[in-house]
Amino acid sequence: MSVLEMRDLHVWFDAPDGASAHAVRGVDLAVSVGERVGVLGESGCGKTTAILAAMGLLPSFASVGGSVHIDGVDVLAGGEKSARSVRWTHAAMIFQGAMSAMNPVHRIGKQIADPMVFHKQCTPSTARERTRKVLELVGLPASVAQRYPHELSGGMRQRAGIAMAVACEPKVLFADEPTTALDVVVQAQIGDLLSELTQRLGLALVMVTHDIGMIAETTERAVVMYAGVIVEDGRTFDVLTAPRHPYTRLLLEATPVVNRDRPLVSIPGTPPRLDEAIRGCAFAARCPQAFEACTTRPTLLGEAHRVACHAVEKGRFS
Amino acid sequence: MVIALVATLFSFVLFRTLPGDAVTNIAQSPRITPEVQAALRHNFGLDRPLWTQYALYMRELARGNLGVSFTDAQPVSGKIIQAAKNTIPMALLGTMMGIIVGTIIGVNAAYRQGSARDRVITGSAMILYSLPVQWIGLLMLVWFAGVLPTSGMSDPYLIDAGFWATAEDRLLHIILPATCVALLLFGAFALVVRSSQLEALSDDHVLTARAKGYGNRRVVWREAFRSAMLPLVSLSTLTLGFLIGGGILVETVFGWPGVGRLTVQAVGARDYPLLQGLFLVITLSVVAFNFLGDVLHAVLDPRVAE
Repeated sequence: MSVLEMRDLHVWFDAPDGASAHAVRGVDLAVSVGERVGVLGESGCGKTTAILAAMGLLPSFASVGGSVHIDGVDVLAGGEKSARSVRWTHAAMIFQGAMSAMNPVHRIGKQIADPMVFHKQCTPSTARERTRKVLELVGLPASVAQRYPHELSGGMRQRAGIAMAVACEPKVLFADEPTTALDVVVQAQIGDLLSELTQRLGLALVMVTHDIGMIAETTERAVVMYAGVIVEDGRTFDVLTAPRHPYTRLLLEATPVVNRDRPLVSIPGTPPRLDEAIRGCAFAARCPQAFEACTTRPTLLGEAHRVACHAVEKGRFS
Repeated sequence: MVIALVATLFSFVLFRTLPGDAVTNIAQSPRITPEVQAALRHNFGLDRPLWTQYALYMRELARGNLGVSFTDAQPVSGKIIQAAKNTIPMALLGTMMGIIVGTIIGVNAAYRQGSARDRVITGSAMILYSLPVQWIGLLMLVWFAGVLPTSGMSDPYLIDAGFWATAEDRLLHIILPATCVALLLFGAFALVVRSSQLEALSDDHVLTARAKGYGNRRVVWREAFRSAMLPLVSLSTLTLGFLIGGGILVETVFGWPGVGRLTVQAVGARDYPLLQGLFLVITLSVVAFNFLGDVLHAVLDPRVAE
């Protein structure tokens, strides 16, 4: 049973001058209970936009199409009201900037406990009790509840952010580049914590990141996005060791490798402009395997390891 | 402390460099002979060298004695206390109204930036902010004369009235000057609150608050405004500091017997001791309110407290 289901999700950002950028162009993604999914792709490919849209958190100049169900609730159908009914109690989110994601003038404990009381899950005193428990769960001493965000280190702050997100016992945890602002050692710790905690609590995790190492460590399923669509979707191990889509291959090749004397490679060209209509495969212009069929849009095909590429489909390249 | 000391020196020198002194006015009366003038000057100590005058002033000040007024020989401290008693309720009431209305309206304008409502609010706040106070005051006099009392702080013919009648009379008198102060401040407060609220609304933690499922009102007031109110606090205490020193124009227009009007009268009469006392009090009130602002800042923002 899927706890999160996006169907044909589209997002347009409308500029005041009437122009519009099609940032997410039809994403289908079903995540089952307890599944840990990593969403990979370069900046501007619509990863973050898609998960913000799933919680109805996009700014007012964005318009959203398609449907999102979280824990059976249709998030987008009832406007702000239905979105608000799933937020934090069914789906919570860990943000990128651990520093700025917390209110600087409230104590950590209050920021963790307030939503529980707000959503009428418990009384203020039990909320304080549960705050201590979730802080313990993420490996922080209970005394952190009395601290302000600026008094914590980056790693502690991100742990507190995780504690905040799991406090209301959601079913889905979105993580938007949870480790970008941290140093490498702390990144690994946070990755371990996330994968351990989600398994222990039976939480589905949808983690957006540029960091392939994080995906490998924390997730069991990897989804690759390019220009607002999913181009590859499979078990993390398969996607990272035997990528099928030409974009995934080039992306993985472009990852710098420590201890190997090799020039840095990059994918030539740039992602397509989102304010112009994209015909066919969005990656065709940069793709070494492109052929005539690429002028039509490929669909995501396959069983366990799905890929959206005409060349793969036709067996021209495997 | 240092600021207060500098202020005494400054006000002392400043007023004595003005042409004319306390006797010049009286001297316009044709009956006053040069001998009487000289005697008066001697009485006031104005014939002594400047530095002796300053030393005497400071000696008395150290004992808490602000001297006596040149015009009516009453103690300066008593006159200032009486005037401050009149000014403070009016200034406080006006400032409160200005802050509350300005804040609510500023937050509302920021909520839908660029909307018609925002443009109307920003435009009118800008206009009110740029209008001269005395002109707003005069317009209010014209419009409300006959409806509300326009001058002074009580009805001189109301004698031996009961508590409630007196209270009502005072309240009616305070409405116009306090509203004038409120209008004067409203524009500035609305604009400051709007811009800091806009900044706060785009903060990441506001997105977190929305992700927590909080309603709009809670997000706007308890999350965003809570961090946007810091500039408002600084501005409020600064404004109050100056206002206790007398909204000179407001008090003059509405004949309010407060610190501002006392200052104007003292300047006209070249009443040096009174002026020096007033300046000292005004300086101290500005300094004290700035200090209060810093304290409040530290209370409201834990990052400042360190």
